[in-house]
Amino acid sequence: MFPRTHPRRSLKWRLTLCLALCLALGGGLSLSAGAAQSGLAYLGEELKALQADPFANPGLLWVDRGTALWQADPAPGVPACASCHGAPESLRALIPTLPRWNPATQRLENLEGLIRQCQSERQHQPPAPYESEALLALTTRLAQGARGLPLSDAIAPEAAPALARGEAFFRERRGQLGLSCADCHERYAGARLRGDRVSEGMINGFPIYRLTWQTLGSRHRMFRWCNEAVRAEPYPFGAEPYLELELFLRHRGAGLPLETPAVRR
Amino acid sequence: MGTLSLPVRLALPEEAQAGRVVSLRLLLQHPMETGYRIGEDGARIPRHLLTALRVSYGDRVIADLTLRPAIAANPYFALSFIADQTGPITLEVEDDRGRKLTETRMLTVVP
Repeated sequence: MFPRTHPRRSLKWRLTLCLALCLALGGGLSLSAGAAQSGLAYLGEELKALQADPFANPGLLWVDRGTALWQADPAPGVPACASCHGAPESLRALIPTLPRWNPATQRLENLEGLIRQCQSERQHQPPAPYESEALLALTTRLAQGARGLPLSDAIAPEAAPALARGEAFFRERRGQLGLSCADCHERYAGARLRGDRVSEGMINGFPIYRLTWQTLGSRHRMFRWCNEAVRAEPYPFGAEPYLELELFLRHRGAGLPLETPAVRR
Repeated sequence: MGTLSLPVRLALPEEAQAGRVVSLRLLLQHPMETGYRIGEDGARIPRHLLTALRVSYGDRVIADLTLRPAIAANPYFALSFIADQTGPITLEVEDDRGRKLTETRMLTVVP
């Protein structure tokens, strides 16, 4: 028999057990077909309505805060984001092309990385830590400005090896449960996992307000959460493998409209 | 105008017809931490909860809520009332760390 789920175990632990059971019993069932679908398509009507609500979507709390941070001088005499860039919407064309290859550093960079770089190089401030309220707020505000734009499939030729590594990461089995990202989000996308439905793992809504977290989280937080759910050691925020995975997921979901701040379970 | 020390979204019409139902919507950013959860470092996450929400219309209290730990983080409240007089709508929210939100908006009632 399976061990009784201890009532004080975390939701993640229980999900993990369930994931293993479902995949073990699911056998050969494949529900994913056709064009890529946003995680929005896997939500119930109430959550779809909450995401679409221009007042009550909880992610808008971070949008408000991001707007204030964008306009405020980070320190006396230090120019605000707005004094160089104008409105956050001026960067809207950039957002769907991230992460992208930076030829100067020969590395990938994502939105969080660009904001942090601007904070340290242009504003001469300590960059906001990953998953801090300030960085989440700025990321959310910028991505919200690009709402509706499709995720781009433009990938620099130099980034081809990184893209290939990202795909390899996606398909590689990991953790004690030995599951790859593709096992759940490709093969079993749409299948039931307890009371939940497995989405395709698209990244067009990030940062997302996730009910499980009761707060907003970045793409890398979700990667870390998923890695932990299959009982793998997660990488740090902003780590190279996650940037490569993020690049692959942008390519995989190319054409999906950005819907930040999305609401997810 | 009040002091907004809690991040908040508040929706309330500025003008309403007499006798019509007006709705007030409020979204608060708050962790609503119960004090029972264990953080990544193995330590207990300290309790941090909203405790009270009060809405007054003119000199009447139209909603007086005691907020409990079972309420989710970043709670959303909506209430409706009948607009019958021009007057201030005052909102007071308190949490258990002495943070307070007091916000006043004028509601103008037209015949």
